[in-house]
Amino acid sequence: MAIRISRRKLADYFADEFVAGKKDIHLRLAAYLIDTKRTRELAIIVRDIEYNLAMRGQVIADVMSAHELTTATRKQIEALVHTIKPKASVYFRTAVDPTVIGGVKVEALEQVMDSTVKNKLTMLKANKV
Amino acid sequence: MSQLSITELSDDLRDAIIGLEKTEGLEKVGIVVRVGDGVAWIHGLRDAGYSEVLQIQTDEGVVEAFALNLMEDEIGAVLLGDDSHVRAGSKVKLSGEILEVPIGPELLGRVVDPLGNPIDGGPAIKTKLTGKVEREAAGVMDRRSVYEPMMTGIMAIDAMFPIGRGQRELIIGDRQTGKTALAIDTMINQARTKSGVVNVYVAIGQKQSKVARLVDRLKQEGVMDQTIIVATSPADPASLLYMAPYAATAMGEYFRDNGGHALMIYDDLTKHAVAYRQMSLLLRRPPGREAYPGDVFYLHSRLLERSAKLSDKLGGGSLTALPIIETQAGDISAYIPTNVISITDGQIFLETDLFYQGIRPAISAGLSVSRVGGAAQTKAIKSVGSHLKLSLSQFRELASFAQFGSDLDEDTRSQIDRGQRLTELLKQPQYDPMSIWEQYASIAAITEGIFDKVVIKKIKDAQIALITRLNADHKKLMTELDKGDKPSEEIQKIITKVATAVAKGFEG
Amino acid sequence: MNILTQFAETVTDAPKGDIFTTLGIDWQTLVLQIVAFLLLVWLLKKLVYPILIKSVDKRQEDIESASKLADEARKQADDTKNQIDKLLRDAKAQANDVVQTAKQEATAAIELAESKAKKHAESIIESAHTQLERDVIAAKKSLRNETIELVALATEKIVKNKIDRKADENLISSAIKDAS
Repeated sequence: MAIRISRRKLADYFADEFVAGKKDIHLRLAAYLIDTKRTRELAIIVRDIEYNLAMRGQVIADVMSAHELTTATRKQIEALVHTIKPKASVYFRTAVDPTVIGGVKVEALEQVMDSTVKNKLTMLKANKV
Repeated sequence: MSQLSITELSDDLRDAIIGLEKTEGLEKVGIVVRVGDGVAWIHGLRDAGYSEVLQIQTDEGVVEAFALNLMEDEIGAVLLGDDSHVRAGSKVKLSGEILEVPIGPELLGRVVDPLGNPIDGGPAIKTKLTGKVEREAAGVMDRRSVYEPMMTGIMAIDAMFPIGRGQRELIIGDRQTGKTALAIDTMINQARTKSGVVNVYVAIGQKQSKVARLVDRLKQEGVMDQTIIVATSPADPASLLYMAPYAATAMGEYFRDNGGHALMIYDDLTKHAVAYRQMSLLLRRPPGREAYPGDVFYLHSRLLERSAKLSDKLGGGSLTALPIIETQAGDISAYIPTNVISITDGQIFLETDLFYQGIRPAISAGLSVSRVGGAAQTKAIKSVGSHLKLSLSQFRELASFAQFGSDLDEDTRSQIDRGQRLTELLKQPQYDPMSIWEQYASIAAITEGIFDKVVIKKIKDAQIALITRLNADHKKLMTELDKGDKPSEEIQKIITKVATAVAKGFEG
Repeated sequence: MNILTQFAETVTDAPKGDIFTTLGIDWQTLVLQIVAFLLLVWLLKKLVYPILIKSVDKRQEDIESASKLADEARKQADDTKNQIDKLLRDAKAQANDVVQTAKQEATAAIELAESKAKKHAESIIESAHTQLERDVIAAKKSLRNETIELVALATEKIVKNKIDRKADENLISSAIKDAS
């Protein structure tokens, strides 16, 4: 019976492979998960891999806003990320959701800045006793 | 009567809205991977510390949890609130703080939950200070030996197993033997004797109806003003039950650290251990004996070590503990009872047999002990208490011979007689703590043989008559005795005289 | 008898002109009478007196012992009377004691009942006050929550329509500036 490799070690390994420029990482990861019956952990492992990549200077920023991001905004977000990880390359994964009404939610390096109007309203409601 | 002030309300809301203007920077965030049975497994938050407070964002607001299992891939956090709104995928933030509760005199007279939120329907509690729930106990050099008495008002305890300020005395017995009653009487006595001791009663998994009755009773007796009640019901999450005694101790420590005196009553630690076992099993920690986790001793030892008498340099304050343990079928050699017995400075053992024989409080004089003993006893009671204990132990040895009646020799018969009288004397009704002079007079009347001719069934009546007489005719002198010093010749003579006179009225 | 008559005859031959003859006393007869008297006394002394003296003595003794008994009886009666007096006094004192104790107990019980009743009344009033306060606090709480809910709803409705692209960009910009 194979020893269960922790997610952290897996993510570390695959991040290294990615940085080294290997191409079939996603296939190998999928195969491993199916083989060890750990397909349910996929989302978390991917998150871990993204974190490890961010630690290696490849930051993926998930951005949600009510409208499409302008270039200026993108630059500002990049600057924000650089305050945590200077000189990192920032890749954007954007999502447009009108229900957030306004503002932006940035997720990167397992950190979040949520200045959407929707979030502020939720925080206001959270003040209920 | 508080006004329904609209200004106050609108100011409050304004503050809440202004608070929204500021945007927090990038905050570390984790995700709930799975949740159930009060435990949330969180991915991320790599910098979380042990016992750190985590804030889970849900649609209904923030649910707090604290991290107890720090593993390579995920964190096991125990929820401090309802888990029904927490979903897989919910975001979790670090608070950066170890769990703290509000502490201070503002809590006096209130019933709160272990997080310091009021549950008595009163106004919100605003304290100036907060105290850590988990805190290290005072070191050896910070302490002083226990020497001040903590009067419980219960004759059997004050005479034979005296408790001192800063001592830990375990109250152990089966269900329905009067454990909580002893604790309540001690609290009432602190108010009656104006000792200045603050009571902190922790109800761990107790029925809410029981707590409500307790609050009513304390209010009636005028004790509530110097009492804090930390209440958890069986319906609360195990994490709150686990936390309750630690949070309450933090509240008691405030008084100790400021030169005051506090009394902690943990009712009861058996339920505490059970809640901890539940939490540990759900956190997948390996079970040990009786399925308790391996550190169940540490659970109680670190709690009870915080009860101490501080040195004069640190203010001379004290924190006395009366933990309660419920045994099954009188088995004090079970796992949890033996653990706690080895931690505390003595125990008061309540027996079901004695209870049903009508001896209430049902204290077993043979199995109970106070390891601090005479050092923390008032001189007045000490002078009569030693005879009491000796007579009772002699009686116990001979108790089985009592049925032989007239076939025994004079000495044996008189010992049995004396023992029966003492047993009768030590019965005490609930909610009726006795002051020092009342105890002294009652015990002296029997140990000096004055009540030897009184019919055994009438001993209590004779005692009441004696106290009434002394109270009516010599109140000033008797209240002198309450100071605790050895009684003067004059007082002794008066008591002998009155007791002799009273005894005549109850002779058989 | 002849001796006696012999003497009697000689006596008649006494000289004449004696004082005894003058007085008519026949001294021979006198001596005989004296002797006879002495004999009688001796006989009495020997035979009668002891018995007499004995019986007198015995009577004397009886009287004395009777008188002694009487004294003793009187003394006992006195003692008993004293004892009875003492017992009565003691019993009275005891009774007084018991009554006094009972009185004191009764007073104490009444006082206790009174103070309990007073306390109970006060606690009823206090709990009514407390209940009132609680109701006010609960009302405050629910008002606050309702207000927050309404404010959030109103804000959502209004702001939704107000934020266009430009406004949004400014909003985001200022938020990121704050955060950095």
